[in-house]
Amino acid sequence: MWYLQGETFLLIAIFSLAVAILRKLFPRRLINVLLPVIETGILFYISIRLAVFYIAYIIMGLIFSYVLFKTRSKYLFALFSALATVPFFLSRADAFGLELPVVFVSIGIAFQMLKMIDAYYYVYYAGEPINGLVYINYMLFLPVFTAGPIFRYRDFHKTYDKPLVLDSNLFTDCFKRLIRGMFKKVVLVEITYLVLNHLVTIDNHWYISSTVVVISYLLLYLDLSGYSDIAIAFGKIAGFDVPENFKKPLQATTFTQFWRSWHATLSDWIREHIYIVVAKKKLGRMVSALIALATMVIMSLWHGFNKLYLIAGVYNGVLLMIENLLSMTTVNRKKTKKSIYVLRCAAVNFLFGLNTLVFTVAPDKLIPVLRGFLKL
Amino acid sequence: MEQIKSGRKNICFVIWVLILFIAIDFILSYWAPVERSTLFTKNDYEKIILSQGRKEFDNVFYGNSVAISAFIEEESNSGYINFGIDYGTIADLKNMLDKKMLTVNKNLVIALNYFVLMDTLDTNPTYPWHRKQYEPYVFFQRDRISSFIKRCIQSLLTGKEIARYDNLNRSVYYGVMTDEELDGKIRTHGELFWDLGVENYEKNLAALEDLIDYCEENGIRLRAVWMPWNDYAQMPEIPQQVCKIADDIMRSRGIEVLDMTDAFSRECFHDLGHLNYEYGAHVFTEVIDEWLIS
Repeated sequence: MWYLQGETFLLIAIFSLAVAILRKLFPRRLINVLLPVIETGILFYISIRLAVFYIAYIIMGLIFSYVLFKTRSKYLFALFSALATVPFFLSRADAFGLELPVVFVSIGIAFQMLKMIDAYYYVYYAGEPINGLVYINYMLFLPVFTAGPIFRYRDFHKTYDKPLVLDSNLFTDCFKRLIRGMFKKVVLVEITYLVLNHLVTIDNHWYISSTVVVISYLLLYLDLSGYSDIAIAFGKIAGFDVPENFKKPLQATTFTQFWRSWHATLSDWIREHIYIVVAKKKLGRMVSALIALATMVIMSLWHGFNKLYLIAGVYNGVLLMIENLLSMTTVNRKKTKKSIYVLRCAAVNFLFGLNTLVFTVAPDKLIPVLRGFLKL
Repeated sequence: MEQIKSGRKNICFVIWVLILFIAIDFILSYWAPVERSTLFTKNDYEKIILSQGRKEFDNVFYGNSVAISAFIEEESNSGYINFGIDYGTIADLKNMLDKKMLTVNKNLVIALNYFVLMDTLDTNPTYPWHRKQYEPYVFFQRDRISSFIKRCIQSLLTGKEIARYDNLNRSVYYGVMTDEELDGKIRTHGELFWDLGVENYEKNLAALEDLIDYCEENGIRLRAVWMPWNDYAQMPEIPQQVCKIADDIMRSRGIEVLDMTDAFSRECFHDLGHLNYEYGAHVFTEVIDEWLIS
């Protein structure tokens, strides 16, 4: 998380401001050439190994995209997508009990891998070639280099061709958003974490466990939305319309809706990249439900390979499956009583809150918290 | 016209926030509440400055935790201040002198061992010379401020009073480790430090040369003492090489060096390098005093 390190935070802030100023002074074409040069320079300053690895990774991606465009081979598409994941799995080899030498610096690989695969999907399914300069800018874009929101290649291309015009209103909004993001990420997360740590030590009853779930939800929200705010603010200052990651998740009445509003760019990415493979095929309710399960399991394991994350993925997947099988994926707000609507929002968010415990509570404290629900 | 007004308002807001931020940072840096108040934990540098009430000394005995636990300034007639700091290195000393966080007027003695020359050793990140120029005060002190806020919240939740850190004594060592404990230390040090190549000492060896230049330019008499080593363990090869390099540097520049590496018996030591405070430190202080005064 680069935004918590003073030097990298300052570098990205200077980078974004410099890009904003350069856009006022020089034509867009020159900026588009300068950007990757500046970004590569910053990466070299941060770590030579990091820069060398990503230059090689990006070149590989570029070559494979070109070959894929020329051949449109589904086997090469599968092979290249698999190869893009190799550094990711290597960096997580210890989760499989393997001690492999990792010679590259893997900061941001979980996100960069998704971006590379998205580019392959773009070439294969849209049948469009990758623009080399756009691709390099896409992969190196600093505000979202180590974390989300996850840019899709086509969305990045759009904003790359038509960058945001930085006026005083936009700049002030970004400035306020930056302060908000830092406050959430640095101050509120610390305080919330402290409260959570205190609560898990108390003798658990259902009301304590419920409070733990609510605080855990809040903690995760503050952490993830905090860094999203910072990334979006810096991205917009630099002229790029970075997608929103959190779209009022508290107002989601179904899990289907929830996953389009919580860490939206990640869940959208996984869902769309699975569905596009099975598109044009008639899917039964059961198959759709199983795809929903697979989406959740993959998303959970992407965060980490261990039993707890697997259980969390299955839990989220089963909830989605049930919705799919019972055709309860949407709620008509106008036809639903307000009290039922609010109850459904609370239920969905609370049930998701149970899942957040995996990310926020130490494994040895998890069972006592869950047992607390059975104590009156 | 509306747009221009709105634009001006926005820019004014941003400028005012930035001015406020810079002003608050300046005030906090000058006031230094974290360093002064007993509500926050103190590092060894702050403990010395607070207990002495100044940053300027005539005679300084500098080193790391080995020096803290070896030299009892109250028992010494030399007038030297024990300026040993946890994880202290030569680079730290040079930084302190360059940034005027320490001023030595007459005599400086450096208590040497291979740890004082190690670049890759963990440091205490709260030492003020680690703060970069662009780092806001609150960001630099975030760990201690965060700890303070946590203790306040805990105090609110539990009803207990907030702890204060008014003990300005630095950590010293008591007792003598058993063979088993020493073997454990040898294993740990062997894994963590003893195979580190000489390149992991380059910055501090360079800092040693810079320190010698600094002392020459400022008329400070610089001397060095090789601190005692527990003969239970043989000095490992690479650290020994590093010490030889440092020794050669000093002797070639005419720096007086006192070698006390093999001067002490086992009962004086707590572990491999630290002397025990109840006995070893008294012996060390008595033995070195004459040399310090000379």
